[in-house]
Amino acid sequence: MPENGLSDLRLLQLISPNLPTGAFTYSQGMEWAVECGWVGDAGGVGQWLTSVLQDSLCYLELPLLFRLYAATKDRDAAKFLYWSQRLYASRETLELRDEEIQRARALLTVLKNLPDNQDWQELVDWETALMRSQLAGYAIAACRWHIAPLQLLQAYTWSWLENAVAAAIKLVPLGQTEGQRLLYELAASIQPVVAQACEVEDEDIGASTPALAIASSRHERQYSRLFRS
Amino acid sequence: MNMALGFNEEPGWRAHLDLIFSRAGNRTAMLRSRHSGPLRVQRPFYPEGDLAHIYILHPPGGVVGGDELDIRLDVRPQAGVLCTTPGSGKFYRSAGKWAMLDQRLYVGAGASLEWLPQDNILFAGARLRANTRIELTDDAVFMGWDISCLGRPSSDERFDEGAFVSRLEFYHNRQLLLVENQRVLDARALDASAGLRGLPLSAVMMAFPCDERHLVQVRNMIEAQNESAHIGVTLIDGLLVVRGLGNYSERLKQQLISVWRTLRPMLLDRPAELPRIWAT
Repeated sequence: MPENGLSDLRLLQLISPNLPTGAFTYSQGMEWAVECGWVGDAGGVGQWLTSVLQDSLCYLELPLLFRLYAATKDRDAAKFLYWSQRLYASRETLELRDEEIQRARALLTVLKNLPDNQDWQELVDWETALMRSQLAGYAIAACRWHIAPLQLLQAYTWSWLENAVAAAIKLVPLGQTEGQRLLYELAASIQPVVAQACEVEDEDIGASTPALAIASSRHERQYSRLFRS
Repeated sequence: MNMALGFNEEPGWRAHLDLIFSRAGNRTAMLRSRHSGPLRVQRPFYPEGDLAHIYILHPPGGVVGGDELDIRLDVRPQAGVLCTTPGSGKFYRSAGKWAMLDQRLYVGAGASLEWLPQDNILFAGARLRANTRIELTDDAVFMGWDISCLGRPSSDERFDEGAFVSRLEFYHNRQLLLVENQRVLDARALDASAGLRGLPLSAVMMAFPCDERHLVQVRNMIEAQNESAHIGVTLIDGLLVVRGLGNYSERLKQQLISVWRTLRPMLLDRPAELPRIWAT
């Protein structure tokens, strides 16, 4: 096995859809976007996800994950807390904030129950941040398992995309095979988005997705829904 | 952020307005009004008796690349202010320089601020960077909105070649409750599916402190209307946030006014009378 073989496997575990953080139970506004007719087919799903990738992940989640990782590496508790709070304050709706907290707590539970974490001081000292932001958990786990930051960012984006396409398959007429085709297509833009995300300056961090924010607000009250609020 | 240099433009015009309001007897007085450059405020008037109504004026009527506008508004404890503008803000095409708009609003304990400026219209090719920071202390009350129109839909003018970067931060007792961003750096962003969806108007309105009762009232009011504008309301950590996208500024403005009418009696125990200047 190559030297970083275990790191690669740890990364696979961290981003697996089977990680019990409930990623598959959220649609991040897409369910309302389908309900109100903004998104109706594979093409519409592609446009919606491309927009989220470019207008949200590229400027919010990825630059923050990058900074949380760096703060972990530098053992900078103040910065770690600052960026995790910044992420939470950037979540535009109650639903998106609840999702952030639910998934943060679930990930923290997984990490706390790993067999070799006796000396993992961040799990205790940085709990405030880890309870509020899922990205905070990803960052400390990746650091501990010697996963390189670029790999982490790419893998995180992949897992987001995989979940989002899985949600779309349940919402619009889109078969499993067609879903894979879409995933294959969209995955090609992950690398350039991650590269761009690493260049984003502190003062430019923040999502610009008003339609997603409105869709998520409306979803909080959507009459019949598959996905959690 | 690349600040492209404009070569053929005059140096920008700096305007600064610094206002302090405080409680004086049974009404709110303007304790200080300092300005430099082309920003003005009219003497406060008192259609409701105690609460100061003010209009912020920008006599040149429009902002060009390189201009900087700074507005500071400090509402001291127990004071009450309603602030609006007589017309839309206009931001003209720039040869490259950014116009900057910086707004800082402070609301002290027991004080209230209603921040109801008319919309900002960005002409095609305009470049604007806007920062708004709202800070509340303890039981301060805030209701306010920010409405932007990209391009001029009335003359079929799209916001091509323009740039708009806006950030709004809301703090309560120094804790950051919300960061709201908008970023349009290219034509793609105008049509982004989860972004502006090709709609020129976008608005965000905030009210604090709110709870489930305010949310239900506002949501029922919004859902009862049969709307072309896309609009949603949510309640995050005591902050009620209404966001909307639309085609026609009047429609979206009317909806926000309806939200204000719904909330004002609940948050300030006052009926909502429209500022007279909006009617002119």
